[in-house]
Amino acid sequence: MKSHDSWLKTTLLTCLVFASLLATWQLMIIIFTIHPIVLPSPMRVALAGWQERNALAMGFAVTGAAAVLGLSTSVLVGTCVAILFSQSRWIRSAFYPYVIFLQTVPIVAIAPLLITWFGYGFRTVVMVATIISIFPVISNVTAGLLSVDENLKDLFRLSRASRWQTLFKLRIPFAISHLILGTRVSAGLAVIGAIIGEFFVGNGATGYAGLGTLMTGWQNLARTDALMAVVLTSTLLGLAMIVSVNTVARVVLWRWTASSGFESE
Amino acid sequence: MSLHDFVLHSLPHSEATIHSSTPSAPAGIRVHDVSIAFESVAPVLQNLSLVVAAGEIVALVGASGCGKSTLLRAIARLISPSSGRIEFSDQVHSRRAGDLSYVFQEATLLPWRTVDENIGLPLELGRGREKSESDAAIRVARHAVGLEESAAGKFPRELSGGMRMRTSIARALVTDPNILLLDEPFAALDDILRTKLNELLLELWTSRPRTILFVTHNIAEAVYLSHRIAVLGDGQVAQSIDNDLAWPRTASQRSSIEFAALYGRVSQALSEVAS
Repeated sequence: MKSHDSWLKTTLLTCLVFASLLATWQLMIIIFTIHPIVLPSPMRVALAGWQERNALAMGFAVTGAAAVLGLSTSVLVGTCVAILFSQSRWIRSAFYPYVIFLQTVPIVAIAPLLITWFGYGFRTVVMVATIISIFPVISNVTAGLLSVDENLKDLFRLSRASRWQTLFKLRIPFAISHLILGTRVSAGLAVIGAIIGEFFVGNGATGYAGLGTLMTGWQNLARTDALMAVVLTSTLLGLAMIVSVNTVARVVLWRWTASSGFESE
Repeated sequence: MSLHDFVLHSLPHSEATIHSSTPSAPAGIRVHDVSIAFESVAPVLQNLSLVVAAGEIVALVGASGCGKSTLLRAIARLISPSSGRIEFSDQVHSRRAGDLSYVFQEATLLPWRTVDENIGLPLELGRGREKSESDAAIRVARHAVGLEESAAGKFPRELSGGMRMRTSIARALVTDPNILLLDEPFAALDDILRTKLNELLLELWTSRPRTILFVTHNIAEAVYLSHRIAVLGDGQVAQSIDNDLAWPRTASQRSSIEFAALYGRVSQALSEVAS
């Protein structure tokens, strides 16, 4: 019950901070008479959000789909790459620099290149989301696969476990918690990647505007209120992604994430 | 020590012999002139010879870093000696994985597996067993270490330190090994638990004699549990002290004069090695 109480308190406190933030914002606009194009009032933003609710919902869905697909690709491909890396030091030293390259390359620089190669479409957006979100998966899972406790490895050697048994019964299960950690970081990045992708791709062939497309569109129209509404929507999308990752982790990987109890002998 | 001593005559189970052909009979260990050196360090073991008779319990004591664990790991074939040989009297070990089990200082359990799944791991890794057969072996091993049915489905994080160690021992027993190597198995536990688990080890040996070689820093434990105490120093067995405490061992022996005398001899030997 105590944890329930503290949860309530935390939530109340967060809401209180949010409310006072909104109040300050509104007050500033009244006191300094700021033009709505520069900074619209919270009320205006809420109103714009309501007026554009269909476009925002569609944008949420389109960008969300791209981010989810990009994240899934990252998790799948990233895990496979990490498994490959864990198998040989040679593979690791030969290819890891390129993975770092993937991390350091400014995505805005290669997005036009991707469009040249893969066209103005949803596919390119997913690709940008993948490229931007794959690194945390690769680096975390590789670290997890390689950081297996020495005694556990000895245990498997004592039982004369094959390479595959060690991989599937020890290394991969051991790396699961690292995978969850990496995916959580990647979830936020995938949303960023999808939005950046949409900046470049625009409506694309589908005609459905994602959040990134809405942003550029409304920025051009100087609709700052709607622009802020879409910013909030993207924040919500990022949050939803992370919560989904946590939920999936709890449900599917309960063996790794289940809360601990303690019983003395 | 000659090959003749390889057979331990003073054991209560005297049928345990070196030439036994049944796979379930305990096997002796013969470490012959073994040296082990790691890169850029002085050799850890230097021409070490040690014979552990079939069914004998030998305690390995010595200062930290004197190579006790290295010796154990070499016997388990986790590392190979730079020179010398390690043999098993009945050669079963070379044929069947699981005939030699190792208990680590930490429980070393897989956190995502339940108690029973952890105990069954060696069976799972060694192929070709029926599930019902494995389940039975797991139950027997769990029961032997005194873990209740209710613990079977628990995860290691839900267990106390003692229960984790019991699970670890059960995992070592599940393949019914002839040789049991323990590397400071109870060092991380408090005194009360340590005493409990000492009794458990004795019970396990009494009900099914195995060749046991264990490393410990605790002299009382070495004296209470062993037939013989090997004191390691300078990479060799500096002294081999026969333990003539009567069997079966009882807690009351811990306060006997013989116990104290033996304790004194071991600690004397240890200080001689250290100086």
